[in-house]
Amino acid sequence: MEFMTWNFAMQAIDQIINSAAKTLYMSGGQMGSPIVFRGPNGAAARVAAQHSQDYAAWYASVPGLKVVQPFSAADAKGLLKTAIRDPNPVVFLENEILYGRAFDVPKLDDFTIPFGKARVWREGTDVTLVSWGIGMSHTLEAADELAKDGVSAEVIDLRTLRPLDMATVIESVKKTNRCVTVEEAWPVASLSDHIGSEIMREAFDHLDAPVLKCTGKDVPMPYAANLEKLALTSVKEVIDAVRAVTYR
Amino acid sequence: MAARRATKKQAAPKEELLKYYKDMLLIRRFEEKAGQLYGMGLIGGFCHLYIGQEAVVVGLESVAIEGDKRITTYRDHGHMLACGMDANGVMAELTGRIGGYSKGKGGSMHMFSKERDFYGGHGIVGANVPLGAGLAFSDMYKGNKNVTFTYFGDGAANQGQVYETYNMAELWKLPVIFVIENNQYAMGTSVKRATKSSSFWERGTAFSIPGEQVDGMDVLAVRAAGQKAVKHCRAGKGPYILEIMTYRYRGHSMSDPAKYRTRDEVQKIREERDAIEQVRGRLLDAGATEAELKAIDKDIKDVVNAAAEFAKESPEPDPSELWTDITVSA
Amino acid sequence: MATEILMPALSPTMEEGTLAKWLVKEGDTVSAGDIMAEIETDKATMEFEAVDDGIVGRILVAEGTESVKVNTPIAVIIEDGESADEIEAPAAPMAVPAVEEPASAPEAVAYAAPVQPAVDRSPDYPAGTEMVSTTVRDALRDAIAEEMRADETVFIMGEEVAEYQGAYKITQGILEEFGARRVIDTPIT
Repeated sequence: MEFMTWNFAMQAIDQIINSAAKTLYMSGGQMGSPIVFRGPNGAAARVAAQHSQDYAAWYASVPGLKVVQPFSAADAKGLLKTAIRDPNPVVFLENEILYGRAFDVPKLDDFTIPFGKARVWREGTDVTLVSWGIGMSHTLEAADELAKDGVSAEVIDLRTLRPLDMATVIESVKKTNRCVTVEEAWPVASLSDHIGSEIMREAFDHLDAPVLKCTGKDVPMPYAANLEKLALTSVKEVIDAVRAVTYR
Repeated sequence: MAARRATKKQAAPKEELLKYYKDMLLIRRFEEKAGQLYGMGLIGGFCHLYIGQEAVVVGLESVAIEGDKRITTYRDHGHMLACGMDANGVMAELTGRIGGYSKGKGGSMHMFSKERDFYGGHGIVGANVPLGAGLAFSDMYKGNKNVTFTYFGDGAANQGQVYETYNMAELWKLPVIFVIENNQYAMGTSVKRATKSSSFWERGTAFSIPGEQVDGMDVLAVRAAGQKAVKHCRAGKGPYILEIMTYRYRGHSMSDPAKYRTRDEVQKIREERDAIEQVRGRLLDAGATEAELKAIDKDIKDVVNAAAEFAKESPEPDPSELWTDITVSA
Repeated sequence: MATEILMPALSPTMEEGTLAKWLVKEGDTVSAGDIMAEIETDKATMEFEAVDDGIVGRILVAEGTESVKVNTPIAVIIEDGESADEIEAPAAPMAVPAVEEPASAPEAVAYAAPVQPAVDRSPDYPAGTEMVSTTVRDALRDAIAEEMRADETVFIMGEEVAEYQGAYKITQGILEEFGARRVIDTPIT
């Protein structure tokens, strides 16, 4: 099931949440809804308030759904194949800006990636950067910049948001003692908030600084080019956040 | 393709009438018992009784074949009993016990049976209509001859998603029967106060879907209309609309004092048009005896009492059930 | 057999109510559906119907009584031929199953199904696998095509997925390979 964009899926959100996600539970396990709902999500470029929203946190909060937000082409392929085979409803959040971007994809007859398994893009020792989807672009770029200044960042791409691979994040934070999350969605009730609270619960004694988040701003998406840029998070914000938690 | 009204008076042999009598009476006695258990605090939350509307599902179920699907709203107990779901399992779901169809996790409004092709039990007005078209789509994709009965009320019939569904159903010739159970009140808002165009059966015309209005207090009229509708669907001609004129005797839910209509209005329909009484009269005309019918009444009371006992005795779900059936393992 | 009529719960939140008015008196014959009383709940005044046929043998709670707890016997219905004198003293209100509270407060609040956290940093594919530079768009299309080839029950529907080849060209060539039965344009809804 393709949505031209996830913005239009709000017209069908009752069926996604009230029907697809809840039927298995309401029927006591008798019947479910093996549908993949997929399409581009989040801001594209200059399409303004009604066409530029990241729904990751909305859908990731719903028990009964699985939620995937890939960054690379290999992950997009391996996770979409897993999604199609999954007997549960899967929300698959793509990104228009990433569609044209090329990555290395393994040449295998049947390449799949399991849900609930984060990918560690680079290993590091000073700070853990957690992101997903297009947030990964800023995060990887920031990590490169930081490396030039001698800050070693570990970069984790969550890839699936429900189930969420917190084990990999917690293990990393126990090593680096610092964490910054990067996402495109609004800051209030964001996935970053959830991840921060999980880290506090599981690794409080290991933290040397508060967990900081880089998110979209708490505003509807503006049209003007300069304002749109300001409304989104950026490489600079990620770098600034890392400097703050590493006290540099 | 002019939409038509069915007017011809139907007849049926005694054996057939007996079946309808039993099926309708089971629903009525079951619902009365459910009302009682609600009063005793054994059933909680929302509970929408089907009393008065029995002829609709019983008439339509009489034209269903194995593999046909049904999906409805939250006023769903009658649909479940009519399609052959077990009274014990339905009542135990009402009391929220493990012996219920959804292990106590669905309640009055959310019950399902894969075995009987009953797809719920939906609590959001109108939202089950696109789902019904989806079920019909699965039959079309698989290439079988089954149909889906998609029930909704006069309130839902004014919703936008219903017309989006009509459009797709006719576009793809989906084998779906849209059954509008017009009980004349959407909660407390009468049809007259909700729309200026109250002939719901005609509203398919804009999409080229045929429809007709049916006397929903006459089970044989419902059956006759159902026969026409399934014939149309099974022949691959696409959807069909039945607006079935019915009446609910009780309030919208248990906590509805029903101040929007007069007591006389309800009493008049009960006395003059009651679906069960009509069949009872036909049965007596066809040679059934009072003793015979009394014996049926007693059997049904026994079934309902046994269901109530089962629903009281069945344990509450184990706390571990909280965490099951959220997703299935791949 | 005499049947006790109990104070009913008439709303999801009602625990007690006022017996506002009796519409029947002792000795009256009632049939199922007849209004016996008016009861004020926390929400509204409700009519209370008889559920069975019989004779009002005794009224146990006078009209105007406030704060009548749910399940308190309020009247007794007898069958034809029975005497009201045989009615025994009313039983105590029937117990409603109480929700069980945990014996002691849990150490930590559990808000999700217990899972075994395990760190899995294994590679997604074997080392040395040949890599091909691919756009995200093509990777998505390949995934859809591969799964549709492998499983006949997989189909795709959406606005412009078929003849337009996808609004963002994710489904480029999918219609040509799999046909209109499995690649379905939906009208805008």
